[in-house]
Amino acid sequence: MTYIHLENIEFYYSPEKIIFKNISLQLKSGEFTVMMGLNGCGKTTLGKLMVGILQPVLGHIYIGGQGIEKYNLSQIGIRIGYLFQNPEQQLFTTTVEEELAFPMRFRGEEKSKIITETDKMLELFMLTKYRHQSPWNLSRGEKKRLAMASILINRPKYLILDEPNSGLDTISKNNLKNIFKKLKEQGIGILLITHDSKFIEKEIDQLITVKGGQLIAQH
Amino acid sequence: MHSIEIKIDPRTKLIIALCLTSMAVIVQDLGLRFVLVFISWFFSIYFQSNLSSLLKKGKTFLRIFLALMVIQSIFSPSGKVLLQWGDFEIITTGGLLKGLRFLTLMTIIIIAANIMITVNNREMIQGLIQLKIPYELAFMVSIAIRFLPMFADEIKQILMAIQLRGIEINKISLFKKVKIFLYIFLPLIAGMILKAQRLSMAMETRAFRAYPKRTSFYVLEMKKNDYCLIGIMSILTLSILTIYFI
Repeated sequence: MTYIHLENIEFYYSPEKIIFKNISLQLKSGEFTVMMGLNGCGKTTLGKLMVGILQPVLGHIYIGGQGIEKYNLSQIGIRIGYLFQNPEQQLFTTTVEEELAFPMRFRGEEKSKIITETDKMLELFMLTKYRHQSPWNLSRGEKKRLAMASILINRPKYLILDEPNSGLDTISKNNLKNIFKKLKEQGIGILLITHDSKFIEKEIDQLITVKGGQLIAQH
Repeated sequence: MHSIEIKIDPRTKLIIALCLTSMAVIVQDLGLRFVLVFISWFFSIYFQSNLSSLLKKGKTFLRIFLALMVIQSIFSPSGKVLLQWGDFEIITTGGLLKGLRFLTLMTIIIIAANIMITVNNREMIQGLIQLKIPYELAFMVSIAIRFLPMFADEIKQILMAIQLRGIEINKISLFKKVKIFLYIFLPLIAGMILKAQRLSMAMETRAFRAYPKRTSFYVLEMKKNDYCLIGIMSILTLSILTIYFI
């Protein structure tokens, strides 16, 4: 089932330099999609369009069949988890544990549920030993893992991950691969924006190459 | 050595901005403050600064002005009562004057800042150096100016990231909103400190301050226009201060 649908999208920061012209794309739940392309070709821009951080000049974006304009950023955030290229942009609190728990606290969820979910995520992303540490003291790879855990705790239906594997060692990459497999089994769709997809090659359902403002999709 | 081809020397703009802001702080008389607003506006148009941003901020300042006027009228009432609700004096002439003083002060400061924005970084550093300010300090000033828009951009990004975590900022209680602001400032300050550290490291690796003496490829030269403008500003400053103190 198509979860994110881009229809005839045109986007530019300035009219002299059009980034995307008339592109369409369908991303399905439970599918693993990899997006590749040269630096500056618009991969991150496309990711930001899908979560409403940027708005297209022309065309429509649908999330779960509904027009994106019907949702505000927080409503999109619950449906689609977005990992920024720079994980420091999405870390806000003084401890790793609090980083995972704070959106649930703000939504007024039960304490026992918050503890269970937090523990689960800490374990899944191998962060349990850092639970009382400041996120700012973690390495870049650990920060990426924490940022990913913090978006997954919302149980989104789709994940857009902007270079989650950059700066990760082999063990962390293997761990990431296993997490992706589990999420796919749970029916969560993933869009991986990356330069290196070798570590996950066998799992790819769709490969999108961004070139000259156009998308080339391969199944 | 080459001289930069610009109409007005940045030192002239700096002197004018300094005179305007200093007078705005010293002069408390409302009539003279309005004269200062007019003078600032005139210079701003002459220097072709972008006044549209000032007009955009106008609404915010109007709200602060109204709030200040009411707060001052309630907590330190003075003058005639203009609006009353039961025993409460909502607006008094004293409160109105204090609100107007704030409004004029902020207008002058922002116009002066707008004038300085018309100077590019390189010219600004060179202008400060030629005013005998040490290069390190001049460079710090230019970096600080460069960081300001980055600061605003960063706040926007953090707010977006918080919302993308599923938090509806508009719908949460005031107490939680205050807490959200703590979450904004932590990454903001930590990010700024990290950026400053990286910048200083990058500068060291590019041999910043490796030699005690510096030479400048570009040198600014004052022209007739500059001397005229500085002369006019000096006369205006002296006149306004004389009127205010005598």
